[in-house]
Order: sequence, then C-alpha cells, then structure tokens
Amino acid sequence: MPSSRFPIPQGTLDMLILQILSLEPAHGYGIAQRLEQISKSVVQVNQGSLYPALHRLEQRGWLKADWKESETGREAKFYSLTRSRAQAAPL
Amino acid sequence: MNRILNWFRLRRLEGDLDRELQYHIDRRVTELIHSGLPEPEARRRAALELGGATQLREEVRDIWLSRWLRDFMHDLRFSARSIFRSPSLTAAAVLTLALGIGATTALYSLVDQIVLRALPVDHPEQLILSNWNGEQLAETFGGDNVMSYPICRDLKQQKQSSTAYSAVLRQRSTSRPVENPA
Repeated sequence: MPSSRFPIPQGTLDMLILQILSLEPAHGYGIAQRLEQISKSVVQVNQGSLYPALHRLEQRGWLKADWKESETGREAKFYSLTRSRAQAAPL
Repeated sequence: MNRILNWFRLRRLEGDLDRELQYHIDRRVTELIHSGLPEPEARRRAALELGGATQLREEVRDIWLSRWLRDFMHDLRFSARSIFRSPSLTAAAVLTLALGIGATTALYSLVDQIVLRALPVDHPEQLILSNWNGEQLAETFGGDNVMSYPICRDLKQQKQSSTAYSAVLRQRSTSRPVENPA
C-alpha cells in the first residue's frame, strides 16, 4: 500500500520507543498502537521493524522485559526502561 | 559475551518471540474484527502489517547472535554430525593428519638440530665456558663472563688442551665445562 508519509529516519524508531516507555512499561502491541497514534501524520512506522528494534534495545541493555498479565488477561511481554536509561531521561 | 550466552538459551528466546508475536497478531486480529472485517481478511491484514513472519524472526535472531557467530555455530554442529556419521572416514582423515604432522615435525627437528643449531667449531662437545668471578665485577649487571682484553689475549695464547687451560685459570677465576665432555 503506497503511503504519502515519510519512511522513518534511522534511529528515530529507537527514540520513539524510549519516549513511549519512559511514561510506563508496555508490551509490543501497546507500543505499536502508541506509535501509530504519535506518528500517524508524520512518519510511517513499519510494524515489522518494531520487534527487531525492541530486541536490539533489550540486547543493548536499555530495555528490560518481563512477562506480565496484560489488560486482556493474557500474558504479554512488557518492556520497560532499565534503571540507567530511566535516569538518562527525559530524552 | 551476552550473545554467546544467547546461544545457550536460544530455544527459550525463540519460544518467547513466538508468544510475543502471537500475542500481537491476536490482539490486532481482534481489533480488526471489531472494526468490521471478516476474520480471514483480518488475519491476512495483521500478518501483512507485521511483515513476513520468517523474515522478522530472522532479523531478530541476527540481533541475538550476530550472523557470523550463528553461521559458525551451525557449521560447527554440522561438522560434528558429519564426523559421527562416518567414523571410518574420520579415522582415516585423523590418521593421515597425524602421520603427516608427525613426519614433518620429525624432519624439521632433525634439520634444526643438525644444520641450524650446530656450532661452527670443530669439536663442539669440547667447548668450555669460562666464568670470571673477580671481586671488582661481582654482583653487577652483566658481570658474568666479562673479562678484560689482556686476559682474553692471555687466554688466546694458551695453545693447550682444555684441561691445561682450566689449570691456568684456577688462580683468579674458575672455569667449568658447558656440558660433560664424557
């Protein structure tokens, strides 16, 4: 599907994810929804690049993840900022 | 370091990723159905949005373990399997290698001893090492084996056998053979 929105510049997705998670922990789907809201008119976030980005940030030690019960009652993987990242905020 | 650890918990990571993606797709499908799409269409759309599942998985795996490390591990496992699949071939290969390395080592050490290490004198086994224990040079760095020129000259003039040679030197210094000339 063609889109008039810009493809997302390198590194922006990471920043957006960190920004979203600085408010509260969220699972991948929640982050995707937020991204959609934030970026609707500006940039096009490919949903497929969200999970690689999350895992990259987790690998780098910026995010940590726990399995917790989500709002639907099912277990979901919740991401949150690690302590060192939280102290570095606001971004 | 972290990545090497990842190798050992790859199965758990894979399972987690599957669950995570499944959760995402299920939520999206529910949402799309609520917005009025029929279920097959909703499933198709959700999968499409996420990009190819295989490609996505592959991309995340590259983050866990860098590509070369992953390939290396797979190669390692493959060679281990091949080794155990045909033990006779493995034995033959190992034997060939062992013989080749053994022969080469033997030859090289022989040449090394005979050609390279041999001292350029007529009777190396008769060589002696003269050591100077004079007081004025005692305990200083490099004090061993240091002799003044007059003494060297005197030594050179001693055209005698090594036994006589040491007898002369016994007055002020000691000399001892490097090896037993037995």
